[in-house]
Amino acid sequence: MLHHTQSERYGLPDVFAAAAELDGLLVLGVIDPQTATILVSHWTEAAGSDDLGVHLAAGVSDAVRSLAVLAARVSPDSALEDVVVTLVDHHYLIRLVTLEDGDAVAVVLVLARQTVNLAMALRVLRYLPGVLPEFRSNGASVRTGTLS
Amino acid sequence: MNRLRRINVPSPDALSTHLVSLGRSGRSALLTARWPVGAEIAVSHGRVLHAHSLIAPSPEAMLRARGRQDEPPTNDDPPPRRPSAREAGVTLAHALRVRNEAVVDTLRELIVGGAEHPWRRRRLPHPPAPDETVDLTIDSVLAEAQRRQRVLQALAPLVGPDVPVARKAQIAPGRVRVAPQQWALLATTSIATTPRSLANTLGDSVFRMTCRVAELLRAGLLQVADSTAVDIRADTAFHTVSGMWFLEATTGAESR
Repeated sequence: MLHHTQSERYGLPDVFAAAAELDGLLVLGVIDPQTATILVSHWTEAAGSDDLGVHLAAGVSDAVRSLAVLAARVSPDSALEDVVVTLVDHHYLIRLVTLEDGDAVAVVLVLARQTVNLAMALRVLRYLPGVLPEFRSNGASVRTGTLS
Repeated sequence: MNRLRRINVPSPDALSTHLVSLGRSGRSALLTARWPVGAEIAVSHGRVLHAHSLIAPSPEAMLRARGRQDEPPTNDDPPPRRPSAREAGVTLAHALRVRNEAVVDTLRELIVGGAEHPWRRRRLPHPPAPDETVDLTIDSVLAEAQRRQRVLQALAPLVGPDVPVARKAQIAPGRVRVAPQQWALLATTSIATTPRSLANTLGDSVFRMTCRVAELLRAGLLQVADSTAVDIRADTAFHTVSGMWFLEATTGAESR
C-alpha cells in the first residue's frame, strides 16, 4: 500500500509516534477523499492487519462527500470541518484539512471507545496537520516552504 | 538516476511483469515504453521513484496549471516569512498528494494500455530532482492502479476519461452551490471536452478529474455531449454535488 514507504520517506512515523500516545488509538490515516487514496497511514498492533485500509479510505471518502452535500443544503453558509462517528466499540474522527490548491485531505483517527479520551483525541486531531513538519527527524527531503 | 539500467518494455503486460520482478528482487532499472506513447518509469531497489508518460500530466504540470508555483521575487516584495507549522504541514500534505497522484495514475494508464489517446505532450519531462521523487513499493502502486480501474469501471455508465462532457446550458446561477474547484471546472466546460483534456487544462490527474466530472454529472450540472445518455437530475431544483462510488467499487469487487 502507498502509505508505508511514504510515511518512512517523510518521517511521518514520528508524527504517528506522537499521536500513538493517545490511549485507544487503532488507526491514523491521511486520505484524499476525491480519489479514496490513502496518502499515509499507521495501523497499531491492536488494529490488526491494514488490509481493510482500502475500505476505510473508500468509506471515509464517500461519507465526507455525502456530508458535504448535507452541509450545503442545511447550513449553506458554512462548511464541513470535523466528522465524529460513534460505534459501539469505536470512534471514527475525521478532520478535513484544506490544501494549497483548495482541495482537502481527510485526517482520520480510529479509536477504541472504551479506552480513549475523546476530548484529547479531538485536540490531537485538530493540531496534527500543524505538527507534521516538526517531526521530520530522518532527514526527509520535502521542503516546507514552496514546491517547485 | 542516470545510472539506472535501461530496459525497453514492449507492452503493458510486459510492464506489469517487469515491475513485479523488480519489486520482488529489489533491483533497480529505468523502464522505457513506446506504446501507445512514450513513457519512463524509474525503479530503485524495488521501489518506484517516478513515472512519466506523454499522456499524463506530471506533478510539475499540475502545479503549473493551477498557478501554485512561486512567482519570481521582485524588489517590491516583502521578505519571505517563515511558514507557520500549520502552513508547512499543509504544504507537506499537498506535496504527498500531488506526487503520489501523478505517479500512480501514470502507471495505471500505462498498465491499462489501450487505444491511442487524442491528447499528448510532445516530449517527456525531465526526471524530477531527487528530493521531488516518490518512494512507493511496487505492490502498493499495482494494487492502487487496480483499485482505480475498478472505480472507473463503476463510473463507466456515467463517464470515462475520454468521454466529452459539457456544462448544461439551462443552469440557473442562483441555484448552484459548488466548491471553487468545481466552479473552475464548470467554467471550462462551456464547450464539450473530456476529463483527460480537463486534467491537463486544470492541473490534475486523469483519474481524479474523471471522479470530479462524475460528481458534477450526478449533480446535473454537466452532461455527456453528443449522446443519448440519461439526464440524471434534470428535474432537480437545487444542484449540489454528491456521489458514493468508492465503497461500492471496493465491496463490489470482493463480492464478484
